[in-house]
Amino acid sequence: MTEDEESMESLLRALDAAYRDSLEPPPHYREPGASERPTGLDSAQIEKWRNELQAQTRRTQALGRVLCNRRRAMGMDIDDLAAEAHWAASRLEKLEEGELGLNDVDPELLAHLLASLKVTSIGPLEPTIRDLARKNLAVYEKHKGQIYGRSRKGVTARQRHEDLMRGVAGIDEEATARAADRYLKAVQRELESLWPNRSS
Amino acid sequence: MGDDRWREILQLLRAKEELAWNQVIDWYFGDVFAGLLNQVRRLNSRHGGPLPEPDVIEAGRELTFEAFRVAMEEIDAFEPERGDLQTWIYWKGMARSKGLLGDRLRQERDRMGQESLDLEPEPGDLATRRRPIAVDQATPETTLVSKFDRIELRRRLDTVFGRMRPNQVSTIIEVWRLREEGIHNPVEVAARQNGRSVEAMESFLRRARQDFRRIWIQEYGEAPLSELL
Repeated sequence: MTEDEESMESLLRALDAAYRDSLEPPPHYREPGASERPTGLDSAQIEKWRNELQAQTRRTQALGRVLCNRRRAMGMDIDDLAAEAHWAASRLEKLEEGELGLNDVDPELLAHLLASLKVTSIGPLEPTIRDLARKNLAVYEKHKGQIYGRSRKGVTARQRHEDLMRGVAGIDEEATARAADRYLKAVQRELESLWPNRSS
Repeated sequence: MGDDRWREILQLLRAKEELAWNQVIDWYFGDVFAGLLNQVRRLNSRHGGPLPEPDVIEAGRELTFEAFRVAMEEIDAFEPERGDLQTWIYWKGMARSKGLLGDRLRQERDRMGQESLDLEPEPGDLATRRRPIAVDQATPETTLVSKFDRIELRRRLDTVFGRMRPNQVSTIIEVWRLREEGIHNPVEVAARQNGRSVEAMESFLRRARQDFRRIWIQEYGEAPLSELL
């Protein structure tokens, strides 16, 4: 063994002794990513497990509550966030309290709000937004005949529509799922334009 | 895993903010899983391959879940100046892999009628090959001394590496990891992975070792590294 090889050998041996069973990685160590370590598995399977772990981590289901928790963790008050995201503070408050449906929120505006909260992609919020979108953007099956109803104070047009349709026409699940999909895609598109190269 | 999106939300991660952790899982689950599955496959093969592939994959998944769980618990100990969050999370899983899988692998191997209960050394597995005291001869005192030595050695290496150029350190570490994985020509593989010629990589590593030695002497005098091994 040359002197050069010996010095490398000695250094590698030192690394082995120091870090092999260490609970902390060596400094500046970078583990190769998935692209450099193909697993040979179907990406849908890995995504399923990822969603499972996210579901285990998620304690809060309501979108408004999740956004409120994030805002507070960032030390922002409603007025600061509303100004940054170009929202009216009163509407933001309603969204956090679960009183504002997604049918009343443009996907682009929601994307601005998420970006202000440092959310760069819709991924971690997808199940939460999808559930709410399916509820708020429900498409009803066609009903023959007229349905009459009066407007009521403090009841949104959407809520009134839902109340009127209840028991009269069923929800078209497929059309609702498509509407939720369109909504999610529009939010993601806008997020990508707000966070170029960081949304994947 | 060279992606530093986590830096923008590190404070939120330390505050255990739920959405922040979901973002981290979203970004890095695939990378951490790929690394840990690779680790499980290596451990399994080192034991003679007692686990069938579906069990290996399931163990990789379990380890990945465990890595994220531990990372969430221990995030306050994470030092961002030392490296990437995703590598740190991977390492948390890696550090637990032997504990979580060791018994299972040994049981399976015994069931298959293999002889030794000890880990077979990997090719290039220096610690196993050079360790002066065999595991079954170790006394509590020698274990304690050896643990103390490792901690002291780690402290010294951290100091020297902290004064070196990060790309020199990361290349030395890369060669070490490749060798640990059983690769017989780690310098050549590291050269290829970094888009350098073997000669350029050897020369780069030579300069890195010279810098290491110079700083080591400045910090600890002429005492050779081998004294601590």
